[in-house]
Amino acid sequence: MKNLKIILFFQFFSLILYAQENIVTGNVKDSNGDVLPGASVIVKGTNYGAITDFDGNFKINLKDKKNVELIFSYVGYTDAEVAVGDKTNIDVILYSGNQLDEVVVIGYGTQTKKDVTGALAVADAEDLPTMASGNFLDNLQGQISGVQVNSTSGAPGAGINVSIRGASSIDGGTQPLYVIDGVPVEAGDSNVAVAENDQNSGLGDMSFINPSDIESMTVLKDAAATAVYGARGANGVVVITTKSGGQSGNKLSVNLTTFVDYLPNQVPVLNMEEYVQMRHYNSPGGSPLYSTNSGDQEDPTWIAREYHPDSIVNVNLQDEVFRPALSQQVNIAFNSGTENSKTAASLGYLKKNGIVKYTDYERFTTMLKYKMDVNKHVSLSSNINGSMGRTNAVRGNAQGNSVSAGIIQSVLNSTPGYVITDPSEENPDEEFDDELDGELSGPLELLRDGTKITTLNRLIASLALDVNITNDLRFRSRYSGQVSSSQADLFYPRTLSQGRRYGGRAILKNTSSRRMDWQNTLTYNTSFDVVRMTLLGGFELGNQVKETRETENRDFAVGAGGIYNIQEGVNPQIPTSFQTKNQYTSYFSRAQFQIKDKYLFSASFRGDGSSKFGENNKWGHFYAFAAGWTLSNESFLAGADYISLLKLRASYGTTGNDRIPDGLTRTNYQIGYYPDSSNNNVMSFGIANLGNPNLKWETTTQANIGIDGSMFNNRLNFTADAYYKKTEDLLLNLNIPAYYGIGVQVQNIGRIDNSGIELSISGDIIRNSKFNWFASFTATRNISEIIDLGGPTQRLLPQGTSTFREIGILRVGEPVGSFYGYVYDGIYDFEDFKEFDQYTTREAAAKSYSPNITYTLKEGVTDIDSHNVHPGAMKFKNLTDDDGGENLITQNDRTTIGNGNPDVFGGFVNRFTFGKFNVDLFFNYSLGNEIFYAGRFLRQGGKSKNHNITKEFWSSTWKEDGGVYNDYSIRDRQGSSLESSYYVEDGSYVRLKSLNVAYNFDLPENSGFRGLRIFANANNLLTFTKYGGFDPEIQGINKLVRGVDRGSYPVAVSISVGINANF
Amino acid sequence: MMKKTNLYIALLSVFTMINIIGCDDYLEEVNFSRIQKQEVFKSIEGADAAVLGVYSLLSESGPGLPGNLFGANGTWFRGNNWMSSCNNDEQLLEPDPNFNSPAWITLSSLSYTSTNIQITSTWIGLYQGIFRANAVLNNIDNIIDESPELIASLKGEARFMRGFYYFYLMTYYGGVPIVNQETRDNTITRSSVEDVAALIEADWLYAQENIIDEKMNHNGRAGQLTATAYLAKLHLYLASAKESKVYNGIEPFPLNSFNWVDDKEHYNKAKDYADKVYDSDSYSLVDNYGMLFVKAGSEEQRDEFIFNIQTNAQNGVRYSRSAVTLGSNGLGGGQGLLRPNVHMYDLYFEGDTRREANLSGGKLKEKNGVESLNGMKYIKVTPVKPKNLNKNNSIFVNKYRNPAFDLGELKENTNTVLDTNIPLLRYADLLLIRAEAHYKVKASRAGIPNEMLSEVRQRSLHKKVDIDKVNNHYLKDDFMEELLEERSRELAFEGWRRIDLFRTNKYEDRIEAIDDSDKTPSNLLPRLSQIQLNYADYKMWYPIPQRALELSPNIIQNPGYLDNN
Repeated sequence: MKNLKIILFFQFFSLILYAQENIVTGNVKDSNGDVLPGASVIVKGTNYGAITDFDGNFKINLKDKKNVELIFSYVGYTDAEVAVGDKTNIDVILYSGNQLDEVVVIGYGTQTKKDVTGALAVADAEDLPTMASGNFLDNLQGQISGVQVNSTSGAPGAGINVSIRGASSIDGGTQPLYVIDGVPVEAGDSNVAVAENDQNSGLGDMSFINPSDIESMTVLKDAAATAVYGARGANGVVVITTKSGGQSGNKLSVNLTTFVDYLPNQVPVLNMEEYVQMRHYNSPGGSPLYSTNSGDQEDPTWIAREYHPDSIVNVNLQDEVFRPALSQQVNIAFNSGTENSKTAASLGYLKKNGIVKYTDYERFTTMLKYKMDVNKHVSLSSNINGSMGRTNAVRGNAQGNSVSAGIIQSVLNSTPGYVITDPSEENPDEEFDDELDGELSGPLELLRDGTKITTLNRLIASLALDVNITNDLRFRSRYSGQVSSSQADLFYPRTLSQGRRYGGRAILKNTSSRRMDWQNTLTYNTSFDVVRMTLLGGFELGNQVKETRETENRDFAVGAGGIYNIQEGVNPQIPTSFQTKNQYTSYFSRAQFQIKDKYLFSASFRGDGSSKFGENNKWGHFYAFAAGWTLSNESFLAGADYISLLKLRASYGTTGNDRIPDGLTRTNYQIGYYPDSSNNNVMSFGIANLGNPNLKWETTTQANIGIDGSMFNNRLNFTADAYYKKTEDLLLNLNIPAYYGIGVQVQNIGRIDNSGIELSISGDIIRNSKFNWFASFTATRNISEIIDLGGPTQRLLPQGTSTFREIGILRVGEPVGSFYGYVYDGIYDFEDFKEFDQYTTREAAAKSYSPNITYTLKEGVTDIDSHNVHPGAMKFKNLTDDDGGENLITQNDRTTIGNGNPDVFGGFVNRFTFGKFNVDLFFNYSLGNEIFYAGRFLRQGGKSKNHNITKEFWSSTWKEDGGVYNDYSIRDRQGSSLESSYYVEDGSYVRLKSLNVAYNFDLPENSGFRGLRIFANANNLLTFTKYGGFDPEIQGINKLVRGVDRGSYPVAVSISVGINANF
Repeated sequence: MMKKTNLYIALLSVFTMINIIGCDDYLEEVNFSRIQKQEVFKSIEGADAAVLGVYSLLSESGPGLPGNLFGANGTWFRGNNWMSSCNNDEQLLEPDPNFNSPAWITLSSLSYTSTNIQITSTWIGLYQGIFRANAVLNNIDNIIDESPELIASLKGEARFMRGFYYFYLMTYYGGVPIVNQETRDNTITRSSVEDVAALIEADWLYAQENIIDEKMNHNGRAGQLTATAYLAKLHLYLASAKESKVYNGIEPFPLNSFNWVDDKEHYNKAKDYADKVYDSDSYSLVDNYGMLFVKAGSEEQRDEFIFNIQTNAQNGVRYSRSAVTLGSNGLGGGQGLLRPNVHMYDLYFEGDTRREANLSGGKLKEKNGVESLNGMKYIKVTPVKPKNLNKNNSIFVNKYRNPAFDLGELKENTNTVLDTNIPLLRYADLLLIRAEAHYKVKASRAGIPNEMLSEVRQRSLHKKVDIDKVNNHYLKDDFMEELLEERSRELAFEGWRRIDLFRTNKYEDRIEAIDDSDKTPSNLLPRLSQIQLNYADYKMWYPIPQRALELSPNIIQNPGYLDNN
């Protein structure tokens, strides 16, 4: 396409030479104020025109100006028509839009957008909002329908989960395949080393790409688009194209940004005075600190008598731990082009400080892209993309693995101060120190003295050879190599509770991988008569080797050790290493036909062989067919000039998901240890897994229908798709009889269906030379249904290791990602117990109440099995009669109590241009999703009687004063610690994800600048939600269950200012 | 010309690629870190490691279990302690609000169902042990050029362990499926207790004949006498179960029946095997009872442990979660979730050191100071305060203790790792087996039965305490009652109580007899009343796990339990 433009340029240049009359000059820029060199200016109805020069200026000689309209066009932009009249100077701004001639990158090739028959969507990087996270996936949120993006935490560098058209796998992974400049990049958490049993590493595996290096992203959604990726295409494919060198000349772009991040709002918790009262209430007769030694608990003066008020010291831990954080980003991009070569190079540096003290993220990225035409037929291109990332993450678990872990929780739960006690007394707080063992450290100490560093270094290098064998037949061979190395370094000194039990603990863990991929394709492009066709055939082979190694040492003297002196510990653990390798080879082909520019057909086929597949299923075959009908080119719509494009699409095909863990096709033994008579370890063997020679990919069959439209001279564009996806042969860890030697085996069994509709619509609502308003809107509704779990009708999805771990469930007939638990039914009150019948008033009943008495429930009142219920405790609905009419709540009374999936999600973009200003507003939204707010349990003092609680809960918690309260009693640590609908909240939200204001300076030609722009940006400035936690966008530990919030790292409001200079 | 060159480049690439794909093994699975079965059973060393693998399951968390289910840890890593100890008169689960695994709560309050994860994972863990033993037995003959005696010895160990795992399956679930091959057959049915017992006996007899005995020095591995002692255990179990008419369903349930047992004959066998171990002089009671449970691989443990789980807390082989089930919190001595009942305190006579060794008044704290035992430092025990007994948190299990590490500051040891070998069968137990068997054979407590009780008591008394006075104090008219009490005194928290109460059919009596007066701490009262309320005769057997019923449709449930409950 661009070659064509160069030819046009020379043709028009020659035309300009022979007429010198009515000269019209002007300048063509894009909406960002960047000049557009090479834009064509054509007199409407003729072939006559001009091309803009390197500075975007044009000059055209017209015979008759009055009745002439000029058409300005540029690839990727919407044409503009301007009547000349008596103007001698015409400046035009061209807007990027859904240009029908736009070339989109698809699998192993490109295609003109109007010819596309599959469901795919393109996001141009320059249209995406600015995100402070530095993770390109964040920019994608709400932009493309069908693509759901959830950040795992607000921590700098944190991972982001993407699923396309719903989760269609359970044990096989739901992340899409990423293809970066043609190189398949396996995404997955396993790229990032994780030390400690912490399922959130705090570093996203796709964070290695600098968003500013990206030119565009194409998301391939249906089978027609993804079948060419065969066994790796079932979860969708994100094709990323990085920025290339320009046509000619040298360009340098420098972008400097400074961020200020802050916590939008603190959670009001009790101060020390209130806390002491709460403790006193919570554990009557407990410790001398929190109750009177005299035992008179009703005495309101007890604090004053026991401790002088001055001895109570308040500490606001949120002030101590959170901070406004200042961060910087520098991006430098250089690109250069000559007739035979194109070069693009970039450097990026990002240092993000977290709003939690001692947390930060640092990333250094570099890219070098070079393309050279060796001769007329042969060209070489090489890409090198390198990245070094490092997080200094929150210590402990960022999102508490057990409900009591997690620094954010401990900030809220820790004692909000201290009491200066009589030094002659034994430390009265000692008992509470004991309770804290193994659960919590002082949060600030943990952040200051603990170390948790995760690094991710990745390098992707590729070399491609393009050979034009004939004008129609092109051969391409691309060889790529990837190296990824990630380290997780962890140290907890013995002074922290996380380290105390080990006498100090240091772990060094390394996860690395090497991947190689070699693709060879032949593309044949031809047309005859009314048929145009493109045929593609290719082979691909590759392998990957993954390694992990781990070293751990314990027992460090105080002040000794750390991750850089691990040898100072005296209790080394057995080091471990593990390596796996898999190899694959594939062949594929695709045929695309366009007949009379109206009827579009495509078919693709791929065969994948992989060492991961079992002996009996070495090869998987995948296919897709698609057809399109361009109605707008039919004669019956010929009169409808306002329609530029109206196209119907339909596709059907299969794809696979080959994310089978390595080494499961054969029975393997693993090495264990058993101590000999001297208690020294000796090697032992035990079965590690029961091999499954039938193991294969998961198969997804997908049907899609869609419509694309472009109207009013491309001012209004829309796309709508409806799909139905059936995923069978799920890779499931299935129970097998115990006497098979092992409890579970991975088998291909089970089925999940996803269906949904997607809509995206965009348009220039107002378009004139003074003011422009562009808006776009996306909406997605996906419904998943589990059809078969291979026998069992339900399966728990455990999260973490402690309270609320059984909240996630998969149940046949329900969507993936349901919450499972008891149905909350209010609280037990006095009238539920026999003993209070004798009292006529609540006050009297309350007065007689003692927490130390075991009360008897009345007949007919639901009891909780194996729990000791008392007034104020949580009550649940008895759903099954499994207890012989005893009216007991048992485990069988659990049911589906919520769903983390939204009914609808998407985004809404508004882009205003007036004068030199650009204002972008980007909202994203999610409606109908529910959140299981496990963090609330802690904030409400459920876990332990010494946890601090929110002021709000303290005012609403049931108390024995005869009042009526909405919330359960703080002393109920039984019912309140069960998964129940009490904690399920509406997680719908609309968020102003990004607000961006930019000003483009008008600079004189000799200033040396091509453009200068300053901008201010705000992320997450406003969130409209009823949800009571920090962030409704929360993603749980288990990716299949969205919306389990255990008190994760809060998402910050990020304000940034920056300057972008182009030279 | 140019075009031709281009074509050659393309063809060259394509053919190179086809060549690579053409390699037959390109798609073969490659595993650098995994071992195939044939490599394991290639050499005697490999087979020996495979035999160790049968043992190591005792302390493993249970590979291949649905390990991410909370509490799903088979065998002795955690699960067996719950199965054997959480619902009888020795220990009660503290209703700790911080701890809410429904599996443990329901197991401890006798309201469990067949889906209980602990009941399930114990089943899985024990069968995995059996599978590992079978894998050894099925493959070890492939090793050539080794002495038949050595092969037979390893087989003997594998068969000992297979019998061992079946013994626990039988005591928990009754008649269970017999699997003697590395089978993949889900049409299997349950065998009767009679058949399972016959298999156990055959395995242990083989072990007794064939294990080369220098291996006995290996503490944690079975020797000939280990098998002999377990044979005594087995026969005593069968005889007493028959004699005491263990519950067998409202409708007799043949699979779990002991009617086939000739109790006289089995008591005689128990006596003979116990005598054989006794007469061998291979074991002895050590002087210091408390020292038995503090240091891994100590002289004491070697002298008195007939069979035990080897531990190595330093290097990852752990007897974990002891804190939860046994009460060792790091250093030992308390905060375990299973709290001893107050009557455990009353069980001991003043001056019986087993009281201090088995019970403490709280978690061991640094300020208690340090004592040196066998050259290693231990935190001194927090004594039980008799006047506080009825208060909450007044009494804890103290049996197992970890050494204190002196690194400038006292190390708070982990509360999940216990650094001492765990006894499975002790010589003291064998003496009590001998007492019981002789009593049953002769129907008189005179002579050996009384002597054995004295011998067990004698060594743990303070120097000034007179054994006759103690014998007098502990004396009960009913010898069996006294013997069972003695077993609880001596073997407290070692996992035998449930089995003892079961085989003597005294489970219900003892549960009902637990003192629920003001002597029981108030926080244990609810659990106590739940156990008493939920007890039913059929709960003497645990249910066959629902999981096993689903996966093997021909397996039937024990009486009393609903198929789906």
